[in-house]
Amino acid sequence: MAAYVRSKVIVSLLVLFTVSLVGFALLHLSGDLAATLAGENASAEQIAELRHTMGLDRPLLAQYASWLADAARGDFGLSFFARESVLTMFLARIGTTAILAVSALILAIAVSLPLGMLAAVRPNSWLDWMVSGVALSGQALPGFFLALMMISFFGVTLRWLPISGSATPLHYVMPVVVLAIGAIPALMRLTRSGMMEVLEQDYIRTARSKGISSLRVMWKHAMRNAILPIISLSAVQLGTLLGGSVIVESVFAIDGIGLLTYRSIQRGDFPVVQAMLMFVSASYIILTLLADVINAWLDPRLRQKSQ
Amino acid sequence: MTALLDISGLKVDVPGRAGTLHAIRGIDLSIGAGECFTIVGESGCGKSLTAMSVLGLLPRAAILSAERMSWKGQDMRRFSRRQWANLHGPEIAAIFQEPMTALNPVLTVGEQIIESFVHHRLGNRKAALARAGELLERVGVVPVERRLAQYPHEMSGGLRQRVMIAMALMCQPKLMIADEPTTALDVTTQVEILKLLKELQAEMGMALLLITHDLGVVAHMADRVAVMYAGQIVETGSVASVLTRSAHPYTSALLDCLPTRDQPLTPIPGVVPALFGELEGCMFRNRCRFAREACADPVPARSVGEGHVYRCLLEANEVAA
Amino acid sequence: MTGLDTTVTANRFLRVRRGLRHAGFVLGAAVLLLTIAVALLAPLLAPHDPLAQNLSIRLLPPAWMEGGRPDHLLGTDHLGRDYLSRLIYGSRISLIVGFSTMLISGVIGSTLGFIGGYFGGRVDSFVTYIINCRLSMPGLLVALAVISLVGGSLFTMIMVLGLLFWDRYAVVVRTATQQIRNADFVSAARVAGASAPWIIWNEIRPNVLHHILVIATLEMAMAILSEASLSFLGLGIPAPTPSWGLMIAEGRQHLFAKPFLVWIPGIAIFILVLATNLLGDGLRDLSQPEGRR
Repeated sequence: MAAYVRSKVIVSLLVLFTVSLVGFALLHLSGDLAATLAGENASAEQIAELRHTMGLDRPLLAQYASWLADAARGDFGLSFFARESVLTMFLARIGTTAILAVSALILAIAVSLPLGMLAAVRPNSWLDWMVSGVALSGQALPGFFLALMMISFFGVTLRWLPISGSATPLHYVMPVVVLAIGAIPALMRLTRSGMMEVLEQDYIRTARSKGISSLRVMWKHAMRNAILPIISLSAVQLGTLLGGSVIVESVFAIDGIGLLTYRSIQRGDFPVVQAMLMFVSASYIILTLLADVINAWLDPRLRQKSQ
Repeated sequence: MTALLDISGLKVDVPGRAGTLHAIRGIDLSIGAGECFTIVGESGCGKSLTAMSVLGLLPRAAILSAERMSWKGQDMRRFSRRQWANLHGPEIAAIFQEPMTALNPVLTVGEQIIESFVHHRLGNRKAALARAGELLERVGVVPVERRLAQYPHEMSGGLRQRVMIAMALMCQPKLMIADEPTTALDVTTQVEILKLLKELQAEMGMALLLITHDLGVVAHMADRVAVMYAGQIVETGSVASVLTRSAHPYTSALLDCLPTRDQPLTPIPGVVPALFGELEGCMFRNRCRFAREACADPVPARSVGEGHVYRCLLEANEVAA
Repeated sequence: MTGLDTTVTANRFLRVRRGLRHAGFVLGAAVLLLTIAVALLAPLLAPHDPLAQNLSIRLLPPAWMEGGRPDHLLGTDHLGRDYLSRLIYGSRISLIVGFSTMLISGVIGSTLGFIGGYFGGRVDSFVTYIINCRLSMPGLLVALAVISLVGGSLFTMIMVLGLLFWDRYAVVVRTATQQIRNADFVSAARVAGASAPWIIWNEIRPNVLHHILVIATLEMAMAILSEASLSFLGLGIPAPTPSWGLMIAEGRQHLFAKPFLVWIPGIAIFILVLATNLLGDGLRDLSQPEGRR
């Protein structure tokens, strides 16, 4: 197990390194950061001066090397715009976004798991069709459009919920629901199909032949097997939700890292964008790694293979 | 002999795309306490579905009907979910063909064995583990402590089938249904498992309903046998009588399939008919060397005596000749 | 167990399900074809110039609402541009982005998948590594950042999305290729001395094509959604080009007074993406005999 985790961690670090390099290169080669920063009315000299003071005229690899050296020490530089440490800016906002993403994932799982299971148990029932319909519609609904519809309905017409900011827990309701609806289709479909496959297995028949309650057959025998891919998907979804916070936070004006990133992208604040890229990548990598470990812990076959 | 299980006119229909499949077309079956009853037939003849009917584990799409279907005099057709659950374990238990897949891969063997015992409130976890230990010892899955903590994939197929047997015995069932318990195992293991089953049957005084495609197994194990073909029992009776004085051409063809030392086996020509639509007459007639026109009409059951019944127009001694 | 019972249940239930999937497939294909026709015939169908402003008729509601005018069926936007005409022209953007992205990412992803799946070993480890790196990068975020730096345009949008969203092709094609890599007909070709590219193109590609087609439709839906999101965030198709996402962004200021400005393009996106997904799901169920996802 330890060796398995170790080798996974090494690969993950390698992936993270590659992502940071590619991200760095993309951000630097896609356009002229100095020109973006200086603004539309800046003269060529002003841009050149800015480029020099920012160190953007050094070779790309040298810039990357110094960025990497700093990042390894936890220093992600200063924001071009706010002249504040990127890390400080991040830490001040990460909680908000984490609450959003984690609540959305919990809500999504709480909806998808029981519904997906029931749909698998009663294929072709009205519930099954509803589940398929919800999954299909959810997949086709752009998050920002859903957000606006909810704002206009719950916020403006009914006046039930606040439409922007993050002052009270109520402020989180709509953004969390919007994010959750983005994650539900995939989770629900996977639960349904995974469960259907498991329910056809011989060991389910064995369990039924033992006279134990069908609820126990479902939870203990079927779910323990069907949950494995769902855990992996949940990890991926949480990573996606963190990235997706850009849209939701900007629509609902929630001051989390998503909104920070969106604003930083708009004004060419490269250190913040690069840090966000690293943060989301690292979260994704850590979460999938965690999912692998949990799965290995839940599935003795994987555990053995990993030894 | 009082019958534990008494079934007559059992039918199972499975509606499907190509029409309704008449998988079981009216069979009678009765099993007495402590007896070993075998159902033998080719795959697709409905023998497994018969077992599933008795277990109440037919797939949802299947439609069961019977003139009589009773367990110790109670009407099984009217069993509630709870009554079935009470039946499974202390009354009827089952082991299946594929020990590789019949055990849950993510739960320890111990957890799976004690489950039904605890669930049926026959004792607490500790008592259950003690009993599981005794049974595993008895079926030869040792050392017990280590085995209880193992997962199915850590065991060989033979051991897993022994675990299945121990699991089925936990609540001291009156009837054990064994659906091709040795088909997936290698030959030496097959023999051991069958021997074990037979011993346990005697020790525990339980009845055994053994489903198999192997007449050799029947000869070894059973008191009585039913030969199934295309959803019907074509011949039934005591093993001695059916195997030595087979009256149905299908039974005798099956016997010819058994390899013996000096005779090459003779396969039965033709294929099993599809069981769709209106089915009349003897279903074996398209493969039977004695077939005649009258075989297309309904064939009455005829008795040879001593409970030996067969369904064919031939006289009892004609096939052997 | 003969396996008879489970297959029969599955058949019965699949028949119903498949029938409806089939209906979904036909419906999806019909809507997609209709949208393509609308996009192609936009100059003929659009009642007005989608860019022509007329500030005297700003924010007209749709014709069926009070104050609406029959010559502006879906009303007008904040600059007095005919909303129906913008919607019609907007379909062009969605479809062009959808199809082009699907093709570019399809070529990249499938190639990687074929290479990894066919060669296996170290080559496959490397391909898996590349896929992992891609999966670890937040696609939307990278797209946003790059487009904002390069400058939003249709071409940039297509290139960025195409270069980013190839992961699903790669994963699926790799697995499918692995499964048939050792099939008899592939081994035969190998023994006969055929080159790897020849075998991949002539023996393997036809056998995984249905997987690629399924992913292609789902990927197209994904690209349409991404375009809408990026344009909505103001980092996609630049104004005044009519893009559905941009229309929603522009209509957002009037969400409370004139919600139809958001509803109309939103529903258009929803229907087009739903149709594409229906097509993909139908394709998957029809191409797989057991109908399993």
